[in-house]
Amino acid sequence: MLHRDEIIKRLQIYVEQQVLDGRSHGVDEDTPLLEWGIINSMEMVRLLAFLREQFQVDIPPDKMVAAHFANLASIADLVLKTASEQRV
Amino acid sequence: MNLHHLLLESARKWPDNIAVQDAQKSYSYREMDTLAGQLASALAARGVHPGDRVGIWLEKSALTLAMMQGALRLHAVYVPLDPLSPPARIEAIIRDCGIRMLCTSPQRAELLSSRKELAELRYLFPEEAMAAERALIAIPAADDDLAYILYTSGSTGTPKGVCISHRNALSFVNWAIEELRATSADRFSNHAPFHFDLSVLDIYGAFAVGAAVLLIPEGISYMPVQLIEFLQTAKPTIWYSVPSVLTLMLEQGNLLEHELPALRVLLFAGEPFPIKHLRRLYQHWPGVRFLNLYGPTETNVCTFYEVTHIADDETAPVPIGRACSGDQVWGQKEDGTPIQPGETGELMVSGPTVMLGYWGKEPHGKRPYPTGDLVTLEPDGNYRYLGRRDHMVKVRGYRIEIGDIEAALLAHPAISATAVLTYGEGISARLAAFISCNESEPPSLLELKKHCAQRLPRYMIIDEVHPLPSLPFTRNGKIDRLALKTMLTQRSEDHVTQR
Repeated sequence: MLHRDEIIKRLQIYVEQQVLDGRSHGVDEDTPLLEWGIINSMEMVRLLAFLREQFQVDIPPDKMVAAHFANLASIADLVLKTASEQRV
Repeated sequence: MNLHHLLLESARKWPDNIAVQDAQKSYSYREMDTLAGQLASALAARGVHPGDRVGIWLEKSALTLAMMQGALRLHAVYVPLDPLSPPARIEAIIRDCGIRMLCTSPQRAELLSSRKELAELRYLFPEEAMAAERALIAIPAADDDLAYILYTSGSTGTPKGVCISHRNALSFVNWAIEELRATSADRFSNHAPFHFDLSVLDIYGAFAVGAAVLLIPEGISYMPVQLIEFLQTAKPTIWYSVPSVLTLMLEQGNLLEHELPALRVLLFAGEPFPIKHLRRLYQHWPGVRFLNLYGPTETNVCTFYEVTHIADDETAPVPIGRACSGDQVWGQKEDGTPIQPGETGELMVSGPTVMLGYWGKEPHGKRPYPTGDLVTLEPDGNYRYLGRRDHMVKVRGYRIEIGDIEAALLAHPAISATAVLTYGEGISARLAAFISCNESEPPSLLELKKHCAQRLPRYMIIDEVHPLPSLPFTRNGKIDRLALKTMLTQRSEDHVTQR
């Protein structure tokens, strides 16, 4: 599995380029994604597909709670945790 | 009869029936009655008097519902506040209707504590209130007394408080339970948040007949897999939501692959249901009744249409139907006369569900309420919704005054002019802002989302921004929204081709 920093980096690029307008720089690991309406209910589906494709993780339904998607850091932790559980 | 009598009566008749099921546990009518009594007692002990507005800024739970009931038992007025709205918006509402007591969590209270204008505001945290003695208070209210206030988007940037009386709400609820032939064996799902008027049916429809209301947590309200899991485990007999949610479960959750034997009525409202999705559901569940409900917050539900047939080549959404809840409705032409079949006019509503008025404004009185919705009358007597007369839009069932978002964007120092438009339908509806700026570098989408998030409810945060050197104007000096709309359609088509 990738290093946490690398996951955050890829997520940051995804959010800046694919979710936002490409001119939005400065998304960092603490940017409140849900609170600022960056990841909304409609973007969530796309984000889950991105996680599957980029990191080969399928987020189980019981993990899909707001706390896990609050910012890039929490998403990266979720990816790492899910990946380690999938391997077992 | 008052709204709080429904729970009291059902607690007497069916004390052991499940009244509310939230994410944590189930509560019987007896337990809900006790909770509501304790909370009424706690509110009274803190000086809440009849007629006072009690704000409720909490996520959905049985306790939140008990708060609402507790306020009503004191003949106070409850004001449900969007748990996803920022402190600035909450402050605007608190000040608008003079809320002096706010039921909320310690964390949320902290967000308001530094606001100078709210220095006098008092708080009640539900957990601590549960220690109170159960009080045997239930002060009767007159039918036309104010029961609750629902805040909706206002065109000038200030939210509007729609004042609903006991009679207003009960006229609709009584019509609905009869039409649905609801009984104490029913299980009402509750998808809508409590500050959204769709929730009135779920909560009070259940309380009126001793049925259960099953609360769907805000966190999963647009998560198709979890919603379907909820449907399978909670087994509602009556489902009510905006069409977008049903479309989402259909498209992204394979809704039709799951058996839902308990479901007997499916109600939808808030926006037109794209007919191709409705047709699939309707054909798949022949034993389920499908009802389209219609009505702005100001009139509750004033018309309904039961789907009995959808032709294979039908492309238009189903009609909004005919009057219900004891109301009269008609389409009115520009010259003030009612429309005839085939003609177009504005839908007018008169009757017991029409609101008392907006908080702080003149009472609405007995006048008919002009909905701002354009309708046509079909030969069979059903009304069909055509569109809006003004700049109000619907995004996933939420009504939004475009002026509300534009006012927030104009508060940004770099923006000199803006026009906000929506495009796309149902679940893919998006809010796009065109801006022109007085600085060389226009603010990014990230910056504007942050800016909106500090001022607006979350469902009003823009999805895209398009900077222009200047906005196009029509010959009479208004922003040319049609030209902008064309620009948007063009861009989204280009976008699709690129993909």
